[in-house]
Amino acid sequence: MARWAIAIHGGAGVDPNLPEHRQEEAKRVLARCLQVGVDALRSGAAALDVVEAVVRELESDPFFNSGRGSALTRLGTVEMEASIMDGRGRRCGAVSGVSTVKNPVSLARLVMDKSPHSYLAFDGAEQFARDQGLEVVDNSYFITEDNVGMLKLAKEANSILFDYRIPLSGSETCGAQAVSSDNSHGNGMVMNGLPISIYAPETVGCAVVDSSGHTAAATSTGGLMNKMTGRIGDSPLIGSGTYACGACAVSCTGEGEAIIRSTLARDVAAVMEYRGAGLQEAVDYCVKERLDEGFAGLIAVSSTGEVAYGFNCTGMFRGCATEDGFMEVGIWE
Amino acid sequence: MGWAVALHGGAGDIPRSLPPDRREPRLATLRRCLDLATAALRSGRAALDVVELVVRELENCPHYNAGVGSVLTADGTVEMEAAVMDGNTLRCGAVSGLSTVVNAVSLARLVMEKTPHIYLAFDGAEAFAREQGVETKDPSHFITEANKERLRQAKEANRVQVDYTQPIPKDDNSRVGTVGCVAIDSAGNLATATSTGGLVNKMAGRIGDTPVIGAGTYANALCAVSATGVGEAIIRHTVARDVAALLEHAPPAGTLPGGRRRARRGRRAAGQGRAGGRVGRRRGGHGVQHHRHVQGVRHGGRPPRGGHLA
Repeated sequence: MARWAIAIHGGAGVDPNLPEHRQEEAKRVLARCLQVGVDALRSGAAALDVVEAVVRELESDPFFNSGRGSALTRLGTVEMEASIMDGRGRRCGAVSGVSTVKNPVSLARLVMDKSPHSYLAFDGAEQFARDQGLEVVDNSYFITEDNVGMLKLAKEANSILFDYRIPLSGSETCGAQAVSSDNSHGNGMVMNGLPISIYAPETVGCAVVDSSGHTAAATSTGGLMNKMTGRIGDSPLIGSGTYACGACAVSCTGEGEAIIRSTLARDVAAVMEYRGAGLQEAVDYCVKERLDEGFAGLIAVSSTGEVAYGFNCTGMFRGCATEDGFMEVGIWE
Repeated sequence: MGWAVALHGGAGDIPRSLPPDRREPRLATLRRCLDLATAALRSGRAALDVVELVVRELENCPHYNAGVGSVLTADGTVEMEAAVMDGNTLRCGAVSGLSTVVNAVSLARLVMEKTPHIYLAFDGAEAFAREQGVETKDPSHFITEANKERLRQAKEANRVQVDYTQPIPKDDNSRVGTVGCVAIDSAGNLATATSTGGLVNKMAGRIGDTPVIGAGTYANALCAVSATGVGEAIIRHTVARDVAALLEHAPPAGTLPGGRRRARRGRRAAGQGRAGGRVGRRRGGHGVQHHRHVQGVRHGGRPPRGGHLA
């Protein structure tokens, strides 16, 4: 019998000035969702079912940027995306551009289980949700007052700048430049072109190994505040935002474009597979060496029941638990 | 440093008996594209420009499953996708769900260069194309008679047909594939681009491996890769990134038991592997300029041929 383990996250890149009561609320939501996973694992549920159930909980809670509470596009609409991967057989499913499906992660699972494909988007994904009889709601269900206000601020900040983070020549660390570049908001920290005080940590996710030693990961997000309609981030991309295999399961969060460029989730597994690294070692290596100038974080579990996380930004909403009784919920380093 | 280029027009169980009238037009296009790429590289064009140039040509050729000549969805429509990636900077761009853009690969490059994002899809991507003023045509422009027939047959067979591989009893013309190009220029820059219409009879909204960075398309400072085959298998094995990951993370080939085999296993994708890879690998020091065209297709149980360019 292997030992089960679970890790969850609610996004990386947290405003250091986040009010105390919001921090407490975040921890409460994380603890509640973590407990859902722990209870399921204790009762012998399979990793794939656990990650879906936990991400559904995170989606349904308006606190984080997924499902209800998703960040808004430039047009003020919600376009959600999600993916799920079963380490056993590396099966996977993903969706993008979902606007009425209450739980995008469950649609991703149906794409995996019930379609000949592994990724459906926009109208085709919506149609498939209806064919499958998934619960759908009006787009307004996902839109919260908080986010309407945030979108206004984001527009005022004239954000989503041209991608200043990409070095035009040489390989200097542009992250440092980005942080010190001209912005008068908060403490100067910028993520995805947004001052950290406005940035909505992108994404929720869950990585699990069950007591049979099977791994699974799932990630879900509303994407980037003030994003162009049609924008796809890292969350639905297998190998970038989500990955699971025989070695480990990983879910990432942060600046999607940096995560895509580094195929971050797959690389944690690749470093374990090809370099023989342990889980935490692989996570540390990828956060340090694979993320170029971008800010991101990730959670991971190994098939042997370890948990690990890492991030290179201000903080990450996360929680983890293992079979031997370890449980932790945290935000900062 | 020597430049190199490789291109592909899809992988699958292409019959050796493919009649000349179906084989020749495709080969002629590959040769023309290779000449084009060679000339561009000789005249000092950057790898990124070369892969875009070549894939545009392949998109404009109705014999391949990209641009005009893209295969049809279950609804009888065309939904094209493409990606481009620059090896040195890791900058990349991707598009999905295009129905009017003549050259999807060029829109992917514009996403890379003119937006803060990497990947735009469907209506948002179409709107961006109009903003940028790229050439668009009525969706009917992309639909060929051959592909209407292919869809009809696929529906008859009641299945999703892999664009390039499934034997269709009556029509050998079904063997048309995704296109891609990888190049390294004489300054040592690597780049890759891939473009496709996807699968015959695919569900509307289906995204394959082509636009997914790390799956169908990937380049870094070590290599550039464009994959083709069963998209779903390529996605879950992150084939393009894994070729690079092996070069990056694994000890030099020869000292690692099964290194190449692992890459191949990755490609083979657990029993339903119909995929081919393209690699341009950097090798410094030698001044010989060379190019080779490999049609990396796998036949039955045989291992994939070619795929490597050094």
